This record gives sequence, structure tokens and C-alpha cells, in this order.
Amino acid sequence: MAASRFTSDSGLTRRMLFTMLLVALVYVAAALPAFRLGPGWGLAAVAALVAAAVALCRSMDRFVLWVTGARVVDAAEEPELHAIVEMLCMTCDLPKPRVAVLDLDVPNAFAAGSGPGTAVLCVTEGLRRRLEPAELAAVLAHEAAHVVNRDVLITAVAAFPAMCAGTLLSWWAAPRGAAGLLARVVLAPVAAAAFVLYCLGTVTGMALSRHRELCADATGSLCTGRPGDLAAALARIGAAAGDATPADRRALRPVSALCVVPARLLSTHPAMDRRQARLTMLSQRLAAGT
Amino acid sequence: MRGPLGPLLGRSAPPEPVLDRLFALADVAGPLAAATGFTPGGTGAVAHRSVEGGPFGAFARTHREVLRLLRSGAAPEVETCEDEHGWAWIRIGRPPGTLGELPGDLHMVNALLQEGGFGPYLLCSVVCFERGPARLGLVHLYRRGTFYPYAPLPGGRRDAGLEREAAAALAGEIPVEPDTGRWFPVRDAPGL
Repeated sequence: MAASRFTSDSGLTRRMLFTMLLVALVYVAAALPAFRLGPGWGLAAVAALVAAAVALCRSMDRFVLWVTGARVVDAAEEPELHAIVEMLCMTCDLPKPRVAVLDLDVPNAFAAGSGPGTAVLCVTEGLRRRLEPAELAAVLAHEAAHVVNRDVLITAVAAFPAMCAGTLLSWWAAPRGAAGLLARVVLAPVAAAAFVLYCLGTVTGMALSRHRELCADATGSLCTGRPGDLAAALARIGAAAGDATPADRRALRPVSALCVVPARLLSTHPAMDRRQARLTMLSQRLAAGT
Repeated sequence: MRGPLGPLLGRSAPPEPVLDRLFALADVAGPLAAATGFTPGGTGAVAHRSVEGGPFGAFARTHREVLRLLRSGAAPEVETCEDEHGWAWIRIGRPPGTLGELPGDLHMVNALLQEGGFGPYLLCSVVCFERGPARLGLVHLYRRGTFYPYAPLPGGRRDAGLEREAAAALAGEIPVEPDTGRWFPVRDAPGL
């Protein structure tokens, strides 16, 4: 059965479970200091964490569209994109996500929204100009796979403690003058804890994101049956992303963990040759029918 | 992997599809004609992804076998076409007026591709009905095992009123897709 063709990668699963355990430890580390003040404070901290995470997840699609300036387009405006997305929805049994276009020259695409019901798939103008039709379908299938696997939600949950710690650090560093200095000295232990949390959270979040990318490559190829198209598209995007302007890269920075190829370093994404090698392996298995 | 663990581990597999409902199509011609005046146009088609692997790959072999079996039977007209995004159709032509063996043909194509391990690459099957120049497609979603009507109008629009009418007429005969958000247009279906 072809459905099991791509799902036998136990090494990847083990690494991912390990990373998720680390993410859970980051959450525990975030709530633990509050429990030392007393159980009431600890429960309050847990409740605040959960409430903030839920609020973040519910408003994430709107936030991402707003922060990148992507424009949601309807079927009359972009018939080709909508036709591709509809075909993918039939294959993956997804409700139809919204489709958005971002007026940037750097070729990239991302998915937003916390689940299949609220998903948005976004492509940049540069991506549409550079890719062949079949390659565009492969990239959209990769993004649809992120929606199927709920990657946006999972990476957001993983990145959330680090984000909070980062905000806390910036508040700690902000006050000026003698009173500010005093506050900084008094709060130094809190800041140190936040710094550790920030480092841990960022590293584990990125590791998880790399695993999810490989999974989305596999799920997306399962959806299209053409890993070769995705490999070709990745090569083309990788070549073009190298000469993107700094302004374009800045515009995509807030969503770089969700992009098909990250605009900055290859930190949230696995190395390109590793992805290519895995896609080639999928191609060979498809051709052999095993 | 299915259930909540699938998405968590990043490897959701689609659910097992229900194919036998395609045979229920044999009963819809009467009610549909009574309610809307549309009669079978004699054309059916199966949409699938054209899986890579080259002309001698596993998918191409299965695909050739499907076409050979289709042509060896009571010899319907069989055609294939592919679009630039990588989706393809197998079109089957039978004499118009009745549905006849068309549901069986469509079931065979779906079942053979599924058996060959290419179920994940099947999208839908379409049967065409006509009333003068107007066309109505009855679409079977492979993954969900449900049907919905698709009535194209010139200029890429759809006749929503006719689609509702047809869905109401068919509701007792076949499982109609309840989520109208999934009544996806099949613009390039042969015969529409």
C-alpha cells in the first residue's frame, strides 16, 4: 500500500519524539520558578502560559497575514493557484484553505493558521514567476502538508516559551537611569533564567522545525506522487534566494520557520542537500513501486 | 498513521476510501432526469495524479494495464490527457442515453489503481449528464466516498441553483457530500 510507503522512517520519528520531550522540558522550566513561590503562583503561571498560547494560536493566521502584508486572493483573481489548491485538497482530504499572494521578488511560500479550518497558503510573486506549473504544485503540496500535519501550531507551541523569554529579556534591558539600573540588578536572577530559557527554547524549536520540514517534504510528495518536482523547485528557489535583496529577506523574517526555504540561514530548515537526497530516495521508491 | 498521533509525528496518512458506492450511480439516472431533465451523456472520467517514474516505472505499468483491460472489454472509447500541473484524466466513452456499464468501468479503473498501490494519487471520478447544450457533472470524491453535482456555465462560473436542485434529487439515492465547501469545481473534466 502506497500510504505506508513514506511512513516507515523510524529514525526520524525517534529524533522528533526526543525533540518534543525537550520542548516539554522547556515548558516545565518556564513554570517551575513560579511554583517555588508557592503552588498558587505556579498554577497561575501555568494558566497564563496556556491562555497566552491559546490566544496566540487562535489569532495566528491573521497575525501572519498582517505582519507580512500578504493579500488574500479569490478564485476570480488567481484561478491557477485556486485550481491547484483545490486539486490538492481533493487528494489530501482537506477543507479548502484561503490562498494569499505576497508581492515580493524573493521566491518563497508559507502556510499559516493553526489547523485545517483556518489555514492560509501564501506564495510570493517571485515564486510564481520562477517556477514551472508542476513545480508550483509541488511547493503548494509541501505547504498543504504543513497544514495536514498541523506544523504551524506545533512549531508555534515549541517557539512560544522562547518568545516569552525573549520579550522578558527586552523588558529587563529597556529601563534607563539609576532606578533602571537598580531594577536590573534586583531582577538579574530572573533575567538569567529567562536567558537560559531563551537559548534552550530557540535551539529545541529549531530542531523540531527541521524535522517537521523533512516530514512535510515526504507528506507533500505522497500527496503529489512527484518528489522530483519538489526537488527541482527547491533547487530553483535555493539558487534565487541567494541573491534576494535584504529588504525582501526582512519582510519574510517573522515567518521564516514556516517558509518552504528560509530567507536567512538554514537554521530552521534542514540542509538543502539532505532534503534533495531524501526526495531522490522517494523518487526511486516510486519508480520501483516498493 | 491515522488518529491524533499522525499529525503530531508529521506523517498523516489519508483514510481508506470507499469505492463500492460508485455502483450506486446506476440508480441515479431516473431520479435526476425526473427532477432536472438531465440525461446521461455517455462520458465518464477518472482524475488521478500522473505519478513520476518514467514510462517504465511502476505507475506507468499499472496505468497501461488499466487501459489494456478497459479496451479489451466491450470496448468503450478510452482516452487519456494530462495537464501542465501534473494531473491527468482517463476518459471513458459509452453510448449516450443510459449509464449502462459506465459505473462499472469507473469502479474498475479506481480499483485497479488502488490495488497497484496508487490509491493516494486518485482524486475523483466524474459522470457527465446533458440537457441540450447544458452539462452537469456528478463527481465522486475518491477520498471521502461522497458525490456532488457540478454545473459549469460559460466563463468559469457555476450554476449554483441547478447544483442544489440536483443534490436534492439525488439525496435519497447516493451519499451527497454534506460540506458544500468541498464541492470543488472540475473545470478540465473531459465531457463537461
